[in-house]
Amino acid sequence: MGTALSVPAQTQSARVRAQGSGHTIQTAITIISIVLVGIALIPALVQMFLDKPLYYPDARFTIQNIVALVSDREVTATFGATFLFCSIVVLVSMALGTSSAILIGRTDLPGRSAFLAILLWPLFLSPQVIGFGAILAYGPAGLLTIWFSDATGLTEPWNLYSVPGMAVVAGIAATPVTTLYCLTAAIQQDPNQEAAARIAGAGSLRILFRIILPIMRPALIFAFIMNIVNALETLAIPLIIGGPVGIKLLTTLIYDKSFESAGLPQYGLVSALAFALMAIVGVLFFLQRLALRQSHRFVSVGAKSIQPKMLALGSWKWPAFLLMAVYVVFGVVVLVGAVFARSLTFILSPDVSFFDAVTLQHYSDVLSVEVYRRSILNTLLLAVVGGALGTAFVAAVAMVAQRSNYRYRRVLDAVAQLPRVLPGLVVGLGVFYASMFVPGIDLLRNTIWLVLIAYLIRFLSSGYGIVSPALLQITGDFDRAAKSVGAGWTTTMTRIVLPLSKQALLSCFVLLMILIIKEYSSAVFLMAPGSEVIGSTMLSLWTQGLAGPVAALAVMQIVLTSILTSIVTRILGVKLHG
Amino acid sequence: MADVVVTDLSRHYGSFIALDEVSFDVKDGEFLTLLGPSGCGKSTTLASLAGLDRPTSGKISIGGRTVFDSESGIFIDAQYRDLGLMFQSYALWPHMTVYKNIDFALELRKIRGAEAKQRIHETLEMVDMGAFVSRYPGELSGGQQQRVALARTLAYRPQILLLDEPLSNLDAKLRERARLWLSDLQRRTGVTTVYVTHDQSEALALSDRIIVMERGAIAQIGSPEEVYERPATAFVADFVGASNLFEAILETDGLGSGKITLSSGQKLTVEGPINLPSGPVIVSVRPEKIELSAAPDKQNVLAYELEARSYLGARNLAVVKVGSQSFRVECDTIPGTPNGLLSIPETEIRVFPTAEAGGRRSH
Ligand SMILES: Nc1ncnc2c1ncn2[C@@H]1O[C@H](COP(=O)(O)OP(=O)(O)OP(=O)(O)O)[C@@H](O)[C@H]1O
Ligand SMILES: [Mg+2]
Repeated sequence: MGTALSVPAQTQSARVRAQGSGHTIQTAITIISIVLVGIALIPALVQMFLDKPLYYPDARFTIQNIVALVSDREVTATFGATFLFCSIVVLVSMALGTSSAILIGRTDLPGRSAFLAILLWPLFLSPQVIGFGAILAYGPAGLLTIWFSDATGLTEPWNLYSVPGMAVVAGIAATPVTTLYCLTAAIQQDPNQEAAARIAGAGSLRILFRIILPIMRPALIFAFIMNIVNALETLAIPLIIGGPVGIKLLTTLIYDKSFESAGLPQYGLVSALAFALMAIVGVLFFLQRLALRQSHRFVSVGAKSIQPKMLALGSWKWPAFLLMAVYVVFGVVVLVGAVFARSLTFILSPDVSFFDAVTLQHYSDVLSVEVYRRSILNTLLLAVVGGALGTAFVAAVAMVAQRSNYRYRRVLDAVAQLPRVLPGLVVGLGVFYASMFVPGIDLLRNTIWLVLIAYLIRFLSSGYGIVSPALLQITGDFDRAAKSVGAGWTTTMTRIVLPLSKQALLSCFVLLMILIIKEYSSAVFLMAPGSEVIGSTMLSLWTQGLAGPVAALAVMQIVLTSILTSIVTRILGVKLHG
Repeated sequence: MADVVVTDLSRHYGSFIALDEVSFDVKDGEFLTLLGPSGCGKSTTLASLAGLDRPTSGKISIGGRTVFDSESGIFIDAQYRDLGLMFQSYALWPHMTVYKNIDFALELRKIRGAEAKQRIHETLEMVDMGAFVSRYPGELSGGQQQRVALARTLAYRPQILLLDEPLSNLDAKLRERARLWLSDLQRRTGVTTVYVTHDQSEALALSDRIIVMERGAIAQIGSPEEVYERPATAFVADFVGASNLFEAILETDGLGSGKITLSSGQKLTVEGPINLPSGPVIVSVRPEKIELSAAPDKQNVLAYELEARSYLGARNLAVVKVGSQSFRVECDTIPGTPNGLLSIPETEIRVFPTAEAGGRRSH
């Protein structure tokens, strides 16, 4: 070693040694992600500036579509209704969700755990099913509507087919998610803060408003924004409730414009509308980041060894119980019950005895008619394959973004979060366009694999949202230790990080399956004979007035979700919440 | 086994300089310790050696191979450096048994079958953990985990062993035992070792040489005796062995020795050679070198007043006052009287330039 070392030229292998191994795979994962998200965005972006559908050779550049956003009467007319709809949805969901979360997570309300179990049902139901349930129970000819008017003598006690009517239903559909966000925050609170207030002489109500709610603020802000986003992009409920009576929101307008029977579909306007929707959603997420920037540091996630003492409700106990019971019965049980009852009867009416109307016909139809059966099988296949593929993809993305020194990992992180601001309709539209132009993808046209691509894009952020925080909790020392004994990136990931994040990956798998079974909006543009899913079949049956098979399909959807989740949770021992 | 040469190594985080042109070498088979207060750049140095962090500039070669050179753009990733790194957190992989934890590195080196088995058992025996092969890390105590972590880094016979505060998670008693056992192990295997700690007694007990670091730079390199007996700066004197540090005025006599004047006006003689000009200086005296109940005819005798005392077990600690100046004194017995005479041998007084005059690096 006495002689001077000559400096070797930087060869290919030296470069690999500098970057560490896995560079090729990291690049591949990044490119795939960018391509996938690009598929959803770019065609629609181009279409926005064309006067005819993208696939017309004589399509020309125009900004008319964007101008139409503010000048077209039909478009501007939806703004008011959309605003009213969103306000009511958010109000209902936030009010019901936060009060349930606090009552269940923080107080001595009787029957807390039973309430929680029922209250979370709608998580597993598609909004479509909730909409059907609402029409069956609370529509003008609905069971409860008729009972109520018979009992009170009011001819029209409420009007479901109105913006407030469908907004309340959409709000109820969104409540469980709000409850979950707030519940975690409510349970994780340090009971000592409350105890300190109590010692200082504060009563229960004061503790609620001065301590519990302020500490939950980050969760409340998060839930608030998520609710607005969800309300903005929701399609199913406005479509089935508002559609027949001509109420149009931004999403239903997009839907109508794309399937206009007369003349050319107005894809340019559709794209412009979709991007307008996306822009609003994007701004909301930006505001959320801004609002949560400091506060997320205050959320304590340390394991609490002591069970927090529950706030005593005192004389409020039974009134609170009653209110909860009213919500759970009329907001959840009745909706689900109506769908179940309808699936088992020819007709659901107070004038006909349930037992006279009972039949298994709808179920036998659903299982024997080719289209119905195919849509169930397709959904099942998509759920399992999509869940598995999606989880693998999410895991790969999360590892590059969180666990590598890849140069563009921040970019990948952003790309993985992007689909969160993409409404399902936009994703569906993008994939639909891609299937027209992109070589390779066009082979998948009219097959469920095209739907699969849409789902993978659509739910990338949802899965990433579960896996990436879980990865952050695994200390980087494990990777560094592996690296120091000579393991490359790929080996470290597959042998160390992957096994350690098993729980999160299984939760991701279950979540993706549930989301895929429920999903509808990103699939509407991609439906073709042979590639139906439960959601699309239900909608077309509903428009034909075949409520019975729809209800049976809805029940099948619920059953499918329960079976798949219980298989995974039981056999593999995944915890769904927490 | 190999030697390490580090030249002008710097690491900047934005405008913050965590390492400032550090140069040192580690000889083949040597046990070298990086010692310094929290945040002085020890872990940063170790991470640079390991290849887990890319320094801003400088050069590192290990066993004659350049693993980092900012000038020619060479940087070899940790994966290819063939070093053993033990983490402060141990970082044992929780989903693998003790056996698997060690086997992983062997598998990567294509050492399989009987040879792998033999090596794993050999290494585990070496750290007295032979009985625990099939346990998971979660089923081991802190001390046992520490030994497994060490076995994991030793089993594949790395060129160099890098240890980042490996004993800091252990309680005082275990730490004492682990220290003896670690130095014994290092001697037996003869592996070149770079050890990081902020505990001076650990450093003194284990090392062939110590590098004392201060704010991203090296304050002194030397054997434990050198660092302890002849600290290069006031900082080293204070950090290693907790000296009494105080300001005084130095007058040199031109012959190499001199006198210092305390703030109380009393004078002490200092043995030469002193290579500082007359003027304000910082003086360091070790607590155990001060003698209480001294005879009046001894060197450098001062009258003191006993201020506080505490019992340390084998020794006693007294705090005494000379004028306005407090001294900590370690001795076997503390005189019962509240006043007395103390003496400070002139060979035990170190003088350093004041911060303004000479900066922290005196030579
Ligand atoms: N990623 C980083 N960004 C900015 N500054 C950093 C970073 N990592 C380390 N530093 C700073 O560099 C300095 C040296 O850090 P280092 O971890 O080497 O300290 P240390 O000597 O190991 O301390 P300790 O004994 O506490 O482990 C510290 O002041 C630290 O704040
Ligand atoms: Mg450190």
